[in-house]
Amino acid sequence: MNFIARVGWSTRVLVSWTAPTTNTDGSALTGDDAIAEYRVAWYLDDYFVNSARYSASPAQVSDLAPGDYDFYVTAIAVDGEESDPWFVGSKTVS
Amino acid sequence: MVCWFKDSLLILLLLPVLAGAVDRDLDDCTVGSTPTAEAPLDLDACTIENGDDISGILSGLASTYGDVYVRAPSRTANVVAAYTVFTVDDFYFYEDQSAANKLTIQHVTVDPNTCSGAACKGFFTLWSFSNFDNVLIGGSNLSITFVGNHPGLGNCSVHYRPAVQTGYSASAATICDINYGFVEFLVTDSSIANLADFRANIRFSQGYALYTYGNGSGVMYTASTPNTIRNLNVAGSFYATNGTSFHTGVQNAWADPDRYVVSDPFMRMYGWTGEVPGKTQGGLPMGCQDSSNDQVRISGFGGYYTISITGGVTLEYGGGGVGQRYTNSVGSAESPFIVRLKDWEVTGPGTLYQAGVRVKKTGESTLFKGDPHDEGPDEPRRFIRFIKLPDDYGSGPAGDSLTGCAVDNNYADGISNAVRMENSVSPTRYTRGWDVEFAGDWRTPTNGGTFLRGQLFYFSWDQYRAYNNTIRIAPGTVVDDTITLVDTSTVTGGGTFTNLRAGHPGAQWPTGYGTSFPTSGTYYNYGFYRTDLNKPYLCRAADCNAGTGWQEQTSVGRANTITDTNVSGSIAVGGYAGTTTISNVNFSGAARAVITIDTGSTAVITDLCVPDGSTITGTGTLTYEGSSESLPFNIPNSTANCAITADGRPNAPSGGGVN
Repeated sequence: MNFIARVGWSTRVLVSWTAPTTNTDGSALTGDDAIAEYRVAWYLDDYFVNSARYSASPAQVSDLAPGDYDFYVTAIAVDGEESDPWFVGSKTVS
Repeated sequence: MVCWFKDSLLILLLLPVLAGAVDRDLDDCTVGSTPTAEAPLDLDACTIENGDDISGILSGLASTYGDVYVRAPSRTANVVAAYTVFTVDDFYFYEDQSAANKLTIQHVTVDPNTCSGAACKGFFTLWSFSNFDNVLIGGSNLSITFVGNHPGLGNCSVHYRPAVQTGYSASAATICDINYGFVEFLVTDSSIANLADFRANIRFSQGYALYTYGNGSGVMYTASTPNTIRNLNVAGSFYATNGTSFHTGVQNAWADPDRYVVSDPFMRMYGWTGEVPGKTQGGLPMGCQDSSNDQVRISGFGGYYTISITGGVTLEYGGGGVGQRYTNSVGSAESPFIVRLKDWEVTGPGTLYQAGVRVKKTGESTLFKGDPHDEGPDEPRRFIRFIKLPDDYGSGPAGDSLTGCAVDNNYADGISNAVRMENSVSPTRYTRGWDVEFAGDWRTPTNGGTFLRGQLFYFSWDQYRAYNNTIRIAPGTVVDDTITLVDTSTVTGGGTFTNLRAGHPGAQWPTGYGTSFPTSGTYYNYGFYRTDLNKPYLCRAADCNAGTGWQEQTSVGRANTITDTNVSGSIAVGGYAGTTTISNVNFSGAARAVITIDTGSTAVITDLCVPDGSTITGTGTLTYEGSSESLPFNIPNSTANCAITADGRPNAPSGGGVN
């Protein structure tokens, strides 16, 4: 047994999405508006747990404690502008 | 006969406790081979009944084998323990088999009002670990709970705190200070302890639930600093007025971001009905925030000359925050320190202990040290993510005070001074930047993402150097209409804010903020705005970017990058501020000196739109549209970029799924 390291959860979730192609004003996602990364947020039993940034779909979210999770994703442009969240789906981790 | 009946009833009521009150020792156990970390002594191998004192077993293991390796019994057990100082190298006391195994440990009952001297020790500290190598208490299931002799609600009668705690002298205290330093970790023999790992619950403790003592103040720890604990880990529910305010001697501290809750013991004991329930604490209504009576002074996870703090904390019922003083780093860009806030507006903070991450008071003790010698790059060293959780008790009392309280509750409650920096003493001591995110509930902001009242950032510090600070407000987050985002009103001559991006296009600010906060559509994005037009104010912001609904900045100064910004005032690059890049900025109004560059600073400027006849002045260095120019510099007339419009932000992703 090892109590020194944080207890790790073995279950992992793969989150995927389709990237946007335009800005909200219809302009192209180029230059500073290009998508730099994505942020995936997960909720456990309706509580915000955490979010992490990923370069592309799909994203592997690990170290999840058992429970019912909802996953959301946003797109973040080079200039930092962030999209509205998109509900990707739910997953029960046991 | 009546008296006899009452006495008999009393005896009957006490029987379950008295019957189990047996002092156990190793003779009550079948030890077998020497216990080890891999094969600990399972308390199932001991005769232990509810109410027994297990101190003799632990002391016996320590004296017989040198170290203590114990596994909790595989059942529900309630035992007591006496104040014990363990000088063993390794002390393992844990439950790792099943969360259904509930072990509760509490003090040997002593009346704090009648004990004196050494007899009072058990009131203040349960177990003391001195000059150890590794102490592991609790375990993965967190099914061990330590219960203090909480005095309950009532007047705190004056009581003398015995000098049982290293670092403190006997001093007048109140019984509210009972259990001060419930479990303590001490390193005083010039060694470096490897680990103090506490993953259990502490209930109804006043003062510090966990207490550490080692190297004193004034020394910024390194990995080889003696009298320190290399790693301190905590997890569990701590119902204590001070959670894990480790005093000194911790190099690196981690709190389980998912399983570390610091809560007000009184609220946890009695709940909250939305109004002052008539119960008193220290003679004052519950939640009055009288610090002299230890009312609601939660301190979640405070560093002190600490190399790093990681993980996170959930703070319940207001109180103080996470005063991470003299700490080299908090969180990281990849994994910010999580601060969850729940029901913190029920009681509201006092003037001393606001929720959030704060440094208040004055003097050297308020400094956040950047590194041992104030050297190194100026990148952010503090990464904090605030998350507002749904409340169980609503928004608490209206206004900022409770009827019947003393003056110490008349402060705006909420997340006041989420980040507060003060340095009125020494301009030669510095900190590093902040990277702070306010993350509400993305889906349903009204269900938990609202930050209420108070001022989020307060700076009156370090006016001489610029650091990178970033504030992000996540989509869905709601900031209440009484919030002051950044208060620099006390700063004369300007604060120091760089790379501060105060607004996020997804941040939703409610309407009705006030005339000083002009609105445009649903979203507002401000680097800064003047809260008091009569005071000198420089908005020192980089990336005062436009977004949907941006408004003009009044003035911007001492920034690394200023772009896509409307400025009705001027830009003060400042002195010795390095290189500032200014591009795509629109200055409205009459001709004037729109930019000033002081000695020691360089401005690289492109794409300005200025009123005809405007100038750039100062004694610094100017590169204008790729050419070196001397100052003062007459800006060529230009109509480029006069209409700075914001691009849209990305559309949301779509499709996909979870596997």
